[in-house]
Amino acid sequence: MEPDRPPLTETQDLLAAAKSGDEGARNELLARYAPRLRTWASGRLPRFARSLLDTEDLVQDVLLKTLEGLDRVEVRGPGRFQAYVRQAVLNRIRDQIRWARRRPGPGEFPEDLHDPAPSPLEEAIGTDVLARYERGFASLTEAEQEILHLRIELGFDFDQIAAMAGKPTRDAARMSVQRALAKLAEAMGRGT
Amino acid sequence: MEPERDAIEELLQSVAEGTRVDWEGTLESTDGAERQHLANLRDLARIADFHRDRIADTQPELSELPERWGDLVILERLGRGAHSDVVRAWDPKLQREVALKLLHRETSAGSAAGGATPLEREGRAAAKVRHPHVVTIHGVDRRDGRVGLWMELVKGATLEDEVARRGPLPADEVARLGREIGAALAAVHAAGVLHRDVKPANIVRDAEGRFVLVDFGLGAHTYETPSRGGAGPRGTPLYMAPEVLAGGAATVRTELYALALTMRFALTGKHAFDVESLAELTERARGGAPSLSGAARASAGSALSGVIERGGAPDPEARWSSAGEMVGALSEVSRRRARASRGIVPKFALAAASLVLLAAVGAIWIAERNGATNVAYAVDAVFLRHDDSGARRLGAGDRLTLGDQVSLELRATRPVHAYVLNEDDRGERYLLFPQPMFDLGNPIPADTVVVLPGTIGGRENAWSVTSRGGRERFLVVVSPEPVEELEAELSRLPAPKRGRPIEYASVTTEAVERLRGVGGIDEVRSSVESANAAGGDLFAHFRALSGAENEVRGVWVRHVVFENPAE
Repeated sequence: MEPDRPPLTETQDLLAAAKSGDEGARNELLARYAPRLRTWASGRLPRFARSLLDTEDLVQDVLLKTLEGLDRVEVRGPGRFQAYVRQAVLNRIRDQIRWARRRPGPGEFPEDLHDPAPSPLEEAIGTDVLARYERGFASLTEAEQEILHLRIELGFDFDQIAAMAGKPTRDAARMSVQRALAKLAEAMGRGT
Repeated sequence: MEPERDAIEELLQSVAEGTRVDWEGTLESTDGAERQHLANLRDLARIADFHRDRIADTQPELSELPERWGDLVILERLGRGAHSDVVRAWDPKLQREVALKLLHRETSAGSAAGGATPLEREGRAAAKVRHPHVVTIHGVDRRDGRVGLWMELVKGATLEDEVARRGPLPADEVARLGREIGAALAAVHAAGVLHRDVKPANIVRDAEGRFVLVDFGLGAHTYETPSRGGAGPRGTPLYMAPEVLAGGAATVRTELYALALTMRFALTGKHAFDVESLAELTERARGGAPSLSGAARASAGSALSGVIERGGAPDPEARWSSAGEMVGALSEVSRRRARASRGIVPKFALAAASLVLLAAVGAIWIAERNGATNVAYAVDAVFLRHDDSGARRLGAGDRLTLGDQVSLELRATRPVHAYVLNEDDRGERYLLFPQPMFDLGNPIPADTVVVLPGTIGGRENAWSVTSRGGRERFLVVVSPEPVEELEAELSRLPAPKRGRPIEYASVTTEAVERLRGVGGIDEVRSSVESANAAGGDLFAHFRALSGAENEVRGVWVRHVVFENPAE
């Protein structure tokens, strides 16, 4: 009847535990991010590029590789892990797009040709907006990137964001999201 | 600039929270750099909406479960029904994981009209039930628009899963199941509540082997009643009494019907009714469950079969009238089975025991043939805790509380003299067994399971925990010959009188010290020394009781400590 260990609420704690070989922490990390990350990634991957590796595999692969290489992901503060995973998934998606474009066949087209089948997100908001969003996003600090990734892209609520990003309260998490949003809107600059 | 700044803050908050904004109107009323800034915010809102919609579309389960319910942090979904979710949650106040049954928002809202819902009322009553075989309800409340009931998270397999995986239970286990869940129902009914959903899927065998009634107090309010919706989302109506299937109300007797059918399932591995439809079940249940098969009856014996069949009678008046009555009948069955088996089982147990034990028995036989005096023998000793549902084995470090009753089950492969000593936290030591007024005395016959202290004047007795706080330590001494030191303590006792509390002999430090010298402790010299160094803790000199031991020579001394916390 002994209570189990309390839930590890902060990503930093989970990471530290996963690094020290705690299988439970590792699974919790996967369980926490994988479903939402998959949905987000599927919105970023053009349909034509999905043939070989589906989004689920891609996200799983990135997460596992990141966890295996945890020693290289220096846990130096909130935001590092999510920002790292986000970038790693986007890199893999870019590789995937590049690979799909080079693939020989009737649909072959040069790399600089404009993508004829944009990702669902591009379809929804336009290529220009997405490009400015990514530029602005890249200019944010890792902590800001993390908090917007969790809120805007993965849809976690403020309680969860507070726990994951090490904010004292849900209001503190909400304020951080608002500040980061303001900064991102500023950094997105002018539309064409 | 201030009002505009406030307006921007408000917009930021809306984007952060995902609430709707009239962007067209907002953008029209601004221009220049601010307009661009707001247009960017609008784009961010669209990006957030895009992702939120996709999550809702692809993973409705993620979007429907809140992250928290009040203080409770929701960790994982354990089950999902048409009206409720069951989740694993972290309770920061209790600092432990709990099971939370959360009614869906619409169910919570639909039942909210007149103050407390039936679930809330019943949950509060159920929260008063404290019983080792009933899941502990921590509370019921309405928070964030949803009614929830949180309770102890019982870890283990459900009876349904266990039988599916391992097949039917032995008859003794079925009787114990009946006693434990019957006692659970008695406690529930005494609180003025009905469980309403007794069935194999709602009984969990926990890590300690006890059967626990779970998913409590929710049946009536979350069950899609068969008259309205067929079998319903929560599974089977197979355990519903015929009068309930016909639309009648649940009663104590409908619960005993469900328990009887659950015992039958445990015994046979099959549901009592093999039916295709609810209409067929309603029809068949009216005529009663088919008789138990010859094999099931042979395994259960006629007494246990009789208890099950009476509980499952189609006519409510023919069933047991209360859970207590049914438990009483089951206890009698178990006592009879135990008595019947004592004469036979030890030999069986011996025959079926490990090769090590057989080797030991062989050694005794050879030694006796050779006339050796230092004969090896086997001892099996285990402490039991009794409650109204029966006995449960205790392990070292288990907890005892005020009012608990404890006895010692003992068997040796040769006639022995047994002594049981107790030491309380003040260091007072008493000789609990033997006692002049006990029916049973030394020597204990060979190959016979005895329960100490046994009976007084034919009535069952046990040692009661009469104080709270600290620890209860027991020392068990088994010897082929009387142990003089302890016999001397006994002789100083006043003559026993019926109706007067038992006066236990105080055991002197010298007597316990002498026991160190007589045997069984030579393997732990280092701990003897360290215990001496620590001072006082005499019982720590002796090896811990760990059940059966096969190669015993001379005096066998073991100790066991149970926690008895002050709460």
